[in-house]
Amino acid sequence: MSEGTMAVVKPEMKSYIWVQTADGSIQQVEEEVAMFCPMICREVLQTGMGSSKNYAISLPQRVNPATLGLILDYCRFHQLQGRSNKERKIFDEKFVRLDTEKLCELASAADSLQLRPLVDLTSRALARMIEGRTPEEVREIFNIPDDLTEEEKLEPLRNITDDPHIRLLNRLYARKRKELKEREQLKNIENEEERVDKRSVDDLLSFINGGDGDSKGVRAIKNKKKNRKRKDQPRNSSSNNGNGDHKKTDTVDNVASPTKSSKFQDSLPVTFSPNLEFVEDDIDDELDPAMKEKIDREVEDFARRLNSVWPKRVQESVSLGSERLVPMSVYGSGSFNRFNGFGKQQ
Amino acid sequence: MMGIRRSTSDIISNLPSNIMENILKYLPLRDAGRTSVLSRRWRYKWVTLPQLEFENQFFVSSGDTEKIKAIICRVLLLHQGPLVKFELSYPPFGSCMDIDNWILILLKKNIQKFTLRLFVGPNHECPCHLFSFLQLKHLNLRKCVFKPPPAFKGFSRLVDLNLLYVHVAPEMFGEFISHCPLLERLRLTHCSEFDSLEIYAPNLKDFTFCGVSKSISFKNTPLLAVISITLLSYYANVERHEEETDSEWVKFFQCLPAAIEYMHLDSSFLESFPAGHLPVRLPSTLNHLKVLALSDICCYILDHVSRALCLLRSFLNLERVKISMYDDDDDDDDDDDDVPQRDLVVEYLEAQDFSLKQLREVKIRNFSGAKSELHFTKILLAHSTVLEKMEILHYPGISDEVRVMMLDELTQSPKASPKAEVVCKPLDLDL
Repeated sequence: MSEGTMAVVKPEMKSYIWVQTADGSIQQVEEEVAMFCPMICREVLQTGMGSSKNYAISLPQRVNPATLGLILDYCRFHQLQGRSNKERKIFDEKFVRLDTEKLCELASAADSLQLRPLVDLTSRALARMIEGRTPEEVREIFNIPDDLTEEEKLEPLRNITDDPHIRLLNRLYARKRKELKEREQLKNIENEEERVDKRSVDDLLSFINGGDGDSKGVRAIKNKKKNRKRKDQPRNSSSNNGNGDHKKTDTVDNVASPTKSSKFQDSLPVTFSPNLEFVEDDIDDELDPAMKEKIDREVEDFARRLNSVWPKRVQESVSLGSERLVPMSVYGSGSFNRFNGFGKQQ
Repeated sequence: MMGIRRSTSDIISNLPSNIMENILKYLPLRDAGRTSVLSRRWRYKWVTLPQLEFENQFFVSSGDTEKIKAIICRVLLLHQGPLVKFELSYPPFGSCMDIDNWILILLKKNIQKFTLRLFVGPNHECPCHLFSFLQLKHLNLRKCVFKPPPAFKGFSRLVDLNLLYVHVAPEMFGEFISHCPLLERLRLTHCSEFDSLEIYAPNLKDFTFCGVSKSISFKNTPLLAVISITLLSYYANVERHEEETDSEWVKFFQCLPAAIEYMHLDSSFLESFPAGHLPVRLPSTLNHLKVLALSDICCYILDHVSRALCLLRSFLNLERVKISMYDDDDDDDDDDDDVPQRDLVVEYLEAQDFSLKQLREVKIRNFSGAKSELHFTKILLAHSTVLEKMEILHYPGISDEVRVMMLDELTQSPKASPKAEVVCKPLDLDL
């Protein structure tokens, strides 16, 4: 259906809006269809443009004639009130059966016209194309350049936020991990402790192993990190002592065989977890003592602030009985109350 | 579905960032995370996701428990910006302090929707920093212990509260609810045993309760439109004086807000009122009640039948009724003990004289074809003057012949409404 023919047949029956695409071509669109696009609607109402060929509304650059045609088809269908939800859904499903390039263009154009439902529809369709596919497949579909080095793909993502809260948390975990490790080594020298204690150490360790060792957005350290990853292996195996239940060797394995490209074909654990490997080593080493002291003070301050939020809770847990006290007495440090006071040990 | 590509250049990475975010938003978390290895430009696109949903698919593919916990923590620390929704549903691990630490990390994220659903292990005690989520609008907990600290001022933005197998402090719960002025939907399922639950919630529109409570009353719930009450009482009814018997029944409905449009009551609720003299109809009528659902009605128990009829007669604008039946009888042979009881019911039903003038549609589920059920159904047919459709969903085990017989019997029984149509279908148990 071409607007031109319509105009000839019934010049009085419909009113039209004139629009111009970036390539210069001008066309007219039925008013109710065009007004379905918020951007066009606003232009018409605020500036009065679009009433004639000379005053055609300039559409954003991302809207080329072909895409405009698609968008107008969408608008034409949906602007009719009488359609049932089912009808609309069926139309939408057919509508997005386009090749990926067209779909991307359509998403972009719909976005520039502020046509939210169409943006969502195309986004969902594009998401469906990504879902369940390996990174290679996704790159293939969208022509995404494979410009990360193999090492970079395995490198843990850094927290690049400047949020001091996050930085402090990271720092806190790094310190606690260090402390724990020292105590763990001490304990390993001693005899077998009760099961409960060991469990909680490993729980904590594994949780903290999940914490970010790299607390700063300082990019300068980045290069050194790559080498440090290897040190994880001996660390992990030592912390596995005495508790075979926790299968932490998995993380070790993944780090050990990163370069097999077939691994990336596997499901998430391989692709995801290398990125989450934590650099355990001391970043403290790289700071000058003054900076280190300052950060230490921040951390203690933060810990104190956190503690002050729940003094009651801590009291509760202290009064609740011996099972709770056991882990706390093992670590002794006051700031640990926070971690041990809540929830139940497994 | 890979069409002909006209260009060889990257078609997606240059899309405007809000579209990129939109696409990532529609991906399950693990796929969104994986985009970080696509290319340099994609590395950090996913860290600003508006929602983090750790649920089934994520757990299945992420390895063992320790690894999963490590990943969750890592994702939370990597995430930037505000987070609208956090969900942790049915993880393979149970209550642990990791959960509390994750909640701690979420503190700065202005969370609006928080879902924690456990199924392994003991209930998880919600840490008190959960009560610092001041922006919270939706809270969904399963298998937790939910006890606000004494100084807690309430969630001022909370709109939807859904607690399943959650241990609460029964005597404080009413007060907690009253401190959440915007609450519109409240669901309590299999939570603590309440003595008397008082609901003070000026914006409450939808209330569901399934559990044990000696009484439920509504104080100031003018907008309440949908209510569903299933009372499970594990103890026998308390002896009460004759004079009190019907007043409690009457009082309960009197306390209900007038705006109610849909009400679901379970037979255990009906039983929780002591047996005794029952008024023919309730004095206060809920004039907006359009749909009444009664579940597990046993048609040979006089209490169920009489109370059900009392309700049907009381609500003048009742248009639709849904009844699910319950037949305790496994065997067909006459139990001598039951016969007098069944006869009582039959007598009672025959003696009824009433008209249901608004009832247009009746749906009966779990119909077993027992005599008592047929009888009850016929009574409904005989007294509903504007009935249009009666739909009976029977157990699939009933043979076609029996069904036809039942249908015949019902179609030929006297009907007060000339338009009444009786339909008999097997239950679709998959639904």
